[in-house]
Amino acid sequence: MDRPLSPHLRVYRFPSTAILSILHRVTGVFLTLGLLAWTVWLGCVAAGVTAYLPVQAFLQSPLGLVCLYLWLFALFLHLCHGVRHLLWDSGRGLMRSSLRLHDALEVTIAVVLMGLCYGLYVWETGLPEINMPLPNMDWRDEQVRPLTHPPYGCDNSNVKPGSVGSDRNCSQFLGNVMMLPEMKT
Amino acid sequence: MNCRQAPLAQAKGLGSARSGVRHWWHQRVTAAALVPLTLWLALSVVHLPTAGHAEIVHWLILPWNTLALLSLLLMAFYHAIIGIQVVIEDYVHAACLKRIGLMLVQMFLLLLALVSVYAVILIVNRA
Repeated sequence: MDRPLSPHLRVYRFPSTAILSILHRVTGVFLTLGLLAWTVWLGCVAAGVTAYLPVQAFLQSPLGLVCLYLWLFALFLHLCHGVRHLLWDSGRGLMRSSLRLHDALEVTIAVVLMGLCYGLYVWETGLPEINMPLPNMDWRDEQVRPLTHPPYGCDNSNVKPGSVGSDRNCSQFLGNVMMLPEMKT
Repeated sequence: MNCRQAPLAQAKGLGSARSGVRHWWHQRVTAAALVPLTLWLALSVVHLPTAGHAEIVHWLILPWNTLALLSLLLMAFYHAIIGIQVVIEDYVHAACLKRIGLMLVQMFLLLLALVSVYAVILIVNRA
């Protein structure tokens, strides 16, 4: 008898309530690990300025920021689902019709709260700097047009007009600049 | 802690023979207390990457922040201790391993709670 038995877990699609319920546990355990991290953080703050320097460097690094915002998102998910548990305990929100709606609502609120936090961070510190590479194109194909300001990403303050810049990244732009009438003087 | 029982269950003398309701109730009370505290913490954590040691200490020694952080730590650790207990009870089936695991994890979390509260007191005391 190799027929599948009736309650065959693998063939069922998880309903969103089940996924959120599992996530509630997973985030709970994750946040408990976070408590360990926060205890270490408090210990470093208590240990003094020099002990805190590497911690601050980590928190400002991309990896540190990702960890911090992952933790924040887990916190908000756990918070929203927890509020929903309190709602259920009061006997509300148990109708089949409201389950899907509240699922979407709680995830949306968690995402919005995290977006607000990141928005506040960006508002205070500015967008993270991204070092864009210079466009890789042949300057001969470009129309010569007047430059009102030095090309982006180039520091040609110490390059004399009329000479070819020693900086490899800038030479293609300087080639254009050299032909401009106002730069010939 | 029988106040959360339905009147019929109360009349029939149903329910846990031990302390089932208390555990459940404490989880809810700490959860409700953690809702505002968590939002406060999230707002504070946003400023964390840019803050240096001096700014953090300045923030922490304000009485409201000290009190809020201490109550948050106590509530969060208690919430975590009874939450992790449920997770271990659900997934660890060997009775001996369950008991030892529960003891170890709860002791460890209790120790962490003590360390963190002690650290807060140290920081405030020194500043």
